Amino acid sequence: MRFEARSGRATPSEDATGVRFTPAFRRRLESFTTRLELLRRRREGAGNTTLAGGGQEWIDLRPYRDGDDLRDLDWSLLARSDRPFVRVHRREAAERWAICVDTSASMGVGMPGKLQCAAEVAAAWLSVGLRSGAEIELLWLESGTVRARRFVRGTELSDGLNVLESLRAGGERGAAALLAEPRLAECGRHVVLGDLLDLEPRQLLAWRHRVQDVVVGQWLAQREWGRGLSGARRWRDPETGDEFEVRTDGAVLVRYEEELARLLERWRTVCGRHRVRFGCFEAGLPFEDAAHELFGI
Amino acid sequence: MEFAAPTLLVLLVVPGIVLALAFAPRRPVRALTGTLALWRRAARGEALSGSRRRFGPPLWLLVAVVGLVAWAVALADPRGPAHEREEWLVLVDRRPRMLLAHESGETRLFVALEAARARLFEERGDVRVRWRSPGLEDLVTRASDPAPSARYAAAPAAARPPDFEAHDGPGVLWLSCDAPERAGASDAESTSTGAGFVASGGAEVPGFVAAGAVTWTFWESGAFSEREAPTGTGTVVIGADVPELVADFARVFARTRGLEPVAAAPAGAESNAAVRLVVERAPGGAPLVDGVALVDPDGRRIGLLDDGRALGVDAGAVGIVAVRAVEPASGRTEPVTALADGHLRVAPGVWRAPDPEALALGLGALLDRALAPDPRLVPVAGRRDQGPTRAQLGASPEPLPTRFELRAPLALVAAAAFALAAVLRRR
Repeated sequence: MRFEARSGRATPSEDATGVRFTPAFRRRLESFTTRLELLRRRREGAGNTTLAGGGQEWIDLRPYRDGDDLRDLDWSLLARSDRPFVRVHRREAAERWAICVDTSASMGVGMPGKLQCAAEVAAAWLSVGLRSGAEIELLWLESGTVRARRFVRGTELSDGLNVLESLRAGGERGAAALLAEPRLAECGRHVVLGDLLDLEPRQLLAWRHRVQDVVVGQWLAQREWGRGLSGARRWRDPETGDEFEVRTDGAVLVRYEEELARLLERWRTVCGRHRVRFGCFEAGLPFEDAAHELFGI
Repeated sequence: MEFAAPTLLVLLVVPGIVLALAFAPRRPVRALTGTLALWRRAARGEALSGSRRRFGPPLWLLVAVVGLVAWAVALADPRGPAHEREEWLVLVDRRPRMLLAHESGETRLFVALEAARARLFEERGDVRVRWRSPGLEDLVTRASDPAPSARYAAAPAAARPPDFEAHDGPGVLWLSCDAPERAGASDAESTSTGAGFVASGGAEVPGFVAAGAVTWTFWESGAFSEREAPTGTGTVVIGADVPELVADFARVFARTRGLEPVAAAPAGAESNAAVRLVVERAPGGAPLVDGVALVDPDGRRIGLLDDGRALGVDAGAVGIVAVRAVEPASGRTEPVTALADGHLRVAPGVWRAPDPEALALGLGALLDRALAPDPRLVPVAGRRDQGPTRAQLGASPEPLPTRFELRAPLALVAAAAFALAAVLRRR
């Protein structure tokens, strides 16, 4: 977004705040999903899958809801606490996914915008999840409020794509607000997509022990990588409105790149230590490349 | 400084354009970023704000521009020109004999000057040449330049030759109509032990060789004859600002010497002027002519200026050379006349003469010395056949301090600047 000095108005030439799925992208998405499903079937035959839980091993308890199988009720706990809990099995947990898309204002930086890239990969997760029968919670922020939409088997993918296309980058709150949402505890797989600039890696670990699988995808705009910069710039934070004028070459640029490298290394280290799948990408990278890394294929 | 390839200096336009673009006022580019905090940490104290927000070109660019300038100048190959490697002194004889006609159609002076210039250029290249002649300021030219013939032709003839013997060494050329005798020749008019010479040569020229009161002596082919003195022997040009007392005396002097006093310098008067009286104040009060003050010790004043200063007479080794004013109180003296060939310079103001005879004696002596020789009177030795034109360069002068060769150092500076700029750019 190129903003003028007086009005601060954005022009669409340098920044994109919305999401648009072209017909070409939808075809590529279909192709990607098909290829991934074939791959999943081959791997499930070998007893190794990353897209679904396995067996009847239970890993957690949750309050009883109407319709739950009474065979899963924890009778001993009921006797001790007088409250009904059911066992959550690994497979069941894995089939409830949460896809969190950061829609803070900083996601609108760059062309194509980071939000566009995150939404494309979110669409890939949505498509794969629906085909594999997972129940998917899509969470995002709208005017600072967490919004959610549940997708179950049989839901048309186009519904999910429409929801994703309605996302707009804006507001100060980001991924940290999404991760504080209680309903995430019901999901066995968390997919967090955004620039994560308002999030510290340790915040991701607060609920990691209760979740079977966590995937984190991070996007930064080309200028945020420090590429193609020279001369003086007046940076503006789209979330806080703060401005900062600095020369973006020479020693300052080198130190910036070092700071960025340290930040990303911290993410990689923490995620690697806790078996969180992590990928950091430059906005504009084809979604297949990012998705391959995040799907672990 | 001279350049072997001066056209390549046009490359200086490149760093000029770079600098112009670098200093052109530009507003910083505005852009959004989600990593503002990282930029703040990276910039530390280097972020500018308020009145310091103007960004100059980065240091590496300035260093690179220095390299570009050095590179462009090095390509143009600056170096010390050949003509400055040495300087030759040419002592020019301008006595009337040099104004006699040469068989080439020019004067002997013209032929000698051109021969000297050509010989120096052929043998020594485009060296520096200092032309020196009595009564005139030195002229400095290059051997490739035309000889100063016109300048010397316009000046009145000199009464005496240059002081050849005082400049007898390497890098000196004696220029006259005949060759000097080498050392050891007993009857030589001038002998040279180290200087070179240029002789115009020239065929015999008959003419007057001596002047009498009524008749002049004529010489031709070795025979002398008496002839009636020619008329119109010359003028005394009296400048308009010359003090009246001095002008009056100059008119009397002219009549006694058979000269015609003229008030200014009408057309034609300058060409045959025997002496010119001009008014000129010495710059900064410096003496126009060196000499010894001869203010009479008993306080006798030979003249007075309207400001009360007394006039004394200066005399050098060859006699009276100037009239000098004396401050009665301080005793400080200042020359009020100066003598050069063909010129008598006098101070402005109102002159008075309590002792007219003493003042007339002093001024008369000065005017006699100032009289230019009549160019029609040339001694027999000068009218004889001088032989062919000859020139012989003596030993070369001591080389002048040569300029430092700049191409290699400039190339080094350019290379160092480019390397430094690259390092600064990466940091």
